[in-house]
Amino acid sequence: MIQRMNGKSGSRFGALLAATAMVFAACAGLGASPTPSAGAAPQCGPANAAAGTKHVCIVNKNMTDDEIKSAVAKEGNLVVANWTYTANDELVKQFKAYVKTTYGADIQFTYEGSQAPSVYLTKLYAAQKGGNPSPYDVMAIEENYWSEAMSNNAVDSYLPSDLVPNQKLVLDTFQHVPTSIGFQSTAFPAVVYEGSKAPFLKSLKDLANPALKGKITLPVSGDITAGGFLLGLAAEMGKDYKDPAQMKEVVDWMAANIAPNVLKYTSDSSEMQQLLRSGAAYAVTFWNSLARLEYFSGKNNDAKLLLPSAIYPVNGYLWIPRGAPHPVLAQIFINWRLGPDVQFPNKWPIDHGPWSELSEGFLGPDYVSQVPDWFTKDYFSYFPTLDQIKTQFKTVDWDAYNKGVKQWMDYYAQKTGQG
Amino acid sequence: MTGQPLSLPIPGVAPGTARRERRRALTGLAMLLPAIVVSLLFLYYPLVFIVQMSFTLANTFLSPAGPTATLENYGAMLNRYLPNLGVTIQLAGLATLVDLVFGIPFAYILVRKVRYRDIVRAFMVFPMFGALYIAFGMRFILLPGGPATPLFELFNIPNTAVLYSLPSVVFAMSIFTFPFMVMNVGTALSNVDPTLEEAAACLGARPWQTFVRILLPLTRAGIVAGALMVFGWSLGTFAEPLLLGSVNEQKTLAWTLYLKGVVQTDYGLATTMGVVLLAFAFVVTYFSLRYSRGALIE
Repeated sequence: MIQRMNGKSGSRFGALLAATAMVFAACAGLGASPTPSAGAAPQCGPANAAAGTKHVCIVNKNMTDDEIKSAVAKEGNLVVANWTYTANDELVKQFKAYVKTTYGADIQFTYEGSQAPSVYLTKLYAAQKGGNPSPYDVMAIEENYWSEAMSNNAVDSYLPSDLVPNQKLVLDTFQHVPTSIGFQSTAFPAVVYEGSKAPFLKSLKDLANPALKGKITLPVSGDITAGGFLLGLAAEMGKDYKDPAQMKEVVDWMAANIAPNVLKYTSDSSEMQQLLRSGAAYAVTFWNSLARLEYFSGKNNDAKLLLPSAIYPVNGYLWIPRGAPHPVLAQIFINWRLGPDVQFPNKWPIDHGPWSELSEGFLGPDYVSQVPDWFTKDYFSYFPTLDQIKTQFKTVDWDAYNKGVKQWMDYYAQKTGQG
Repeated sequence: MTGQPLSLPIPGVAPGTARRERRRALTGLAMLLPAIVVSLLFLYYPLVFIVQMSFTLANTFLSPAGPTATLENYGAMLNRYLPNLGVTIQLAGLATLVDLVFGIPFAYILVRKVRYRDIVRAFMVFPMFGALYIAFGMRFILLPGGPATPLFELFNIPNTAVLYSLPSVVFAMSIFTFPFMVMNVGTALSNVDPTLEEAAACLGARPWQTFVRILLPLTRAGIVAGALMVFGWSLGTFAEPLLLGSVNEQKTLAWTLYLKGVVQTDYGLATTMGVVLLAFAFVVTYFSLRYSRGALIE
């Protein structure tokens, strides 16, 4: 009897479930249908504001100072997507104080930090797909993500803008007018090694030295750290990163010669630091900033930065996503972040390590005088000169990179056994 | 005796009964409605999206141009990522085995011998709050320079040989899932009358004979339910292989899914892996519920 009753209610429930599933499948179909594109972003021409006003491209208005203050107070909120810095709290505090002093407004400021910025893109695309505002006002992430977002029509135009006068301090090399501007000039995936234990390391190819068996770490497949490392290796091998076939050759060589030396595939900097300091690893592959962090930590005076013959910088760029809800504050933040006193936050109450995370090289000649006294002696051991930046750093064609990267990155994962 | 008509109640057709039954059913449905709506909206509706996304190419599901339909992801799953599924099942199986070996005696001691068992249970539940904490904690202990370093030095073993290894991953997974096993087995054991063991002892049975012939058959359902639950939870393991595993353990489907979906924004392939994991989890959950019900009734 019980079984019969269960069977009966089960069939009813089954029918209900089937009907519901169909309804939801239909709804899901509707949700997944492509939304009409929001039209091209306004192209920002040269600032041409009337006297006493500032031209704010993204909202396409000439605004007086009072109007800007009013807009800041009205927006009252800012969300920035960036990385996880040790000094994130101080950064938030300093910017809020700056807005209070300059515009007289108390704002809410959310500073999101992630070491996997692609998460931001996923959230952004999902919001845009659903016709919702962008969850972020400013993206401060690697240049390749800007390029990818551009191809997905997810970036707004905001340059030039009278709200971003510091744009003129930045070299043209680091600008993609009208959509983004670099806030770093010398960030690149690099090898940091113990000078006394691996003195023979002069190039990325030297990571294949048998003396390094079980003593190196390489980046986890997939993200830009691994991508940047392979770009550097390709340059040393004379291969063209724009050609997926040649990149496969690079991966094959790496898998045959360097992979046997790998202790761990990781992109966790704290793990790398501990492995390096303990002697469990002689060389780790991360970002060049790790060498400075080790130097300032006082725990490892032996850590050296390997400077490959060809450096492909993967700098952070500031851009405003399409549909950002607080565009005026977004531009004020961008301008503030580009200011020499923020690029070199010498007056902030932070230690040298966190300082070295926030400051990533000269964006132009106006920044050169900002090197603090306590770092003058060793600054150029960890950072290039402005001339070197102009002449020795290669530029990456991110469109070409993004077209081929999935293919050869997947190959990298496969050949190194990462899946 | 005058012939008064008899009005005997006829079963099933008493006046008002049908109406009352209908009202009761409607009341029941109304009380269930919020739960049904919430489940449909927040559990099944996203699942529909996940399945739908798994049939789209790379990240086209969210692209302005619209999704590109494909079966490639399932092809890749079959041709390329079956070893990843194999590693996932291997790790889950080993963790289940470790939990079985240590969980059954632990549950027995807990149920039969420990007086303040609620306190012990409360402490046991702690690991369930975070696999990540356990993995981080173990990594902190095992990393070179960590608290376990003197021990490794004593036996002349490199820290990293233990840290980045299959045993450390399985050990961390087992700690996390240990309470599932103990609680299921413990519940089944509580339902076994201790006098049965005493009677067996009086009749000359040795402890292992009592265990094999009395306890094991009577707690079978709880053991199977616990094992299935541990196995099911372990299928989604992520933190332990990432932090403690070598390149082989890092092949688990959950970690690969993260790399594909979050890092490389290949939502199509990532959701395909998710669908496979979900299908596995569903089967395991079904059987675990089926057996745990048995454990409670028996």
